[in-house]
Amino acid sequence: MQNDDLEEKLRSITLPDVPPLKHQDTVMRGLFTERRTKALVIWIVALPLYMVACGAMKTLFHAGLPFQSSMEEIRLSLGQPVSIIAFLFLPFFGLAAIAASSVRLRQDDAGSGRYLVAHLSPANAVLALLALSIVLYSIFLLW
Amino acid sequence: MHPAEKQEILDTDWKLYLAAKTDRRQFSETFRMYYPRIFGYALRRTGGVDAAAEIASATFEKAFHGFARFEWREIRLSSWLYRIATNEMNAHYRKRRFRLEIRIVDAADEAAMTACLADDREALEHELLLHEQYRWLRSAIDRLPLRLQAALSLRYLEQKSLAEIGEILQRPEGTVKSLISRGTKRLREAWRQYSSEPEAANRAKR
Repeated sequence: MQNDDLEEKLRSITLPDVPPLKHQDTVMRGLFTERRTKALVIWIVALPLYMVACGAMKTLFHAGLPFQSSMEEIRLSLGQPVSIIAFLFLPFFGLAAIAASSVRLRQDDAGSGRYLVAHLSPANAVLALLALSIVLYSIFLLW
Repeated sequence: MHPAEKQEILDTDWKLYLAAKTDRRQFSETFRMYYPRIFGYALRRTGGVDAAAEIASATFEKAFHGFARFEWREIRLSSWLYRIATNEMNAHYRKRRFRLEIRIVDAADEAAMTACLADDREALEHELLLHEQYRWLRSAIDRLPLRLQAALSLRYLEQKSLAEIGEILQRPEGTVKSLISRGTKRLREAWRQYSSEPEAANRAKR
C-alpha cells in the first residue's frame, strides 16, 4: 500500500467527539484563583528555606533574629526532653498526618507510570508550612 | 475546510484576542470557546479522561499567565493554544514514569471537580469505546517517537492541515510533510496487521 493511500485511510477514520463538559466551569474558577494558590506554594518553599538559613546562621555565626530568642526562651523553660517533643516530634507527626491524608499514589492513564500527587487545602497547606518550618528550625536549635 | 469557514474562525479568534488583550478577565471567553477543543485534543491523544483534564487545565493556566507575552503576528490564537497543549503533552509523556506533584486546592472546588469529572468520564469513556479504529490508531501512534507522535496526532486525530501543523510545531510545511510521511510509513506495517485480523475483516463486511 502506498503512503498516500494509507494517509487517506487514516484521515478518514471517525474520531471520538467531546460532548459538553460539566467540569469546564470548575476548571475556569480554579484558573482565576490560581494566583492566590501560587503565592501560597511559594511560601511553602520559601519559609522552610528561610528557617534553615536562620538555623544555619545561629549555629555557624551565633547570629539570630528576634523570634529565635523567643523560641530559645520557650525551649529553656520547657527543658530539653519536653522541647524535643514539642518542637520536633509533634510538628513532625503533624506533618506526617497531613501528608498521609493528602498524598496519593496514582497510576497513569496509560498504565505505564505512577505518580505521587498531594492535594492540599489552604488550611492544611498553612499547617504543613508551620510544622515543616518548626521541624527544620528545631533540628538546628536542638543540635 | 472551506475558505469562508476558515475566515470565520480567524475573525472569532481575532475578536477573542483583542478582547482578552484589552481586559484580562475577557480571557474567560477564550477559555469557553477553546477548552472543549483542547480537552478533545488531549483526550484523543492520551486516551485518558484524567490525563486530558490535567493537560487541558495546565494549557489554559499557562495561556492565561502568558497571554501578555502572546503576539498575534507570530501565530494565531488557536494555534498558540494547540502549541501549548502539544508541549504539555510532550512533558506528560516524558515525565510519566514517576513524578511528585503538589497542588493547593479548595476542598469544595476539588469535590466539585471530582463529581463533574466523574459525570463526564462515563460519557467520554463510552465515546472512546465506540471508535475501535481510532483506538488502534492512537495506540500505534503512541509507540512512535515523540516528534512523530505530535505531527501524526495533529494530522490524523485532529484533522489539521499541514500549514496549521507547521504553525503549531514551529516547523516549515516541508518538514511537517516529511515528518508525517515518515510516521505514516512506520504505521504501515501495524495497519497491515490490524486490517488482516479476522475481526477487522468482519467489521469491514458489516
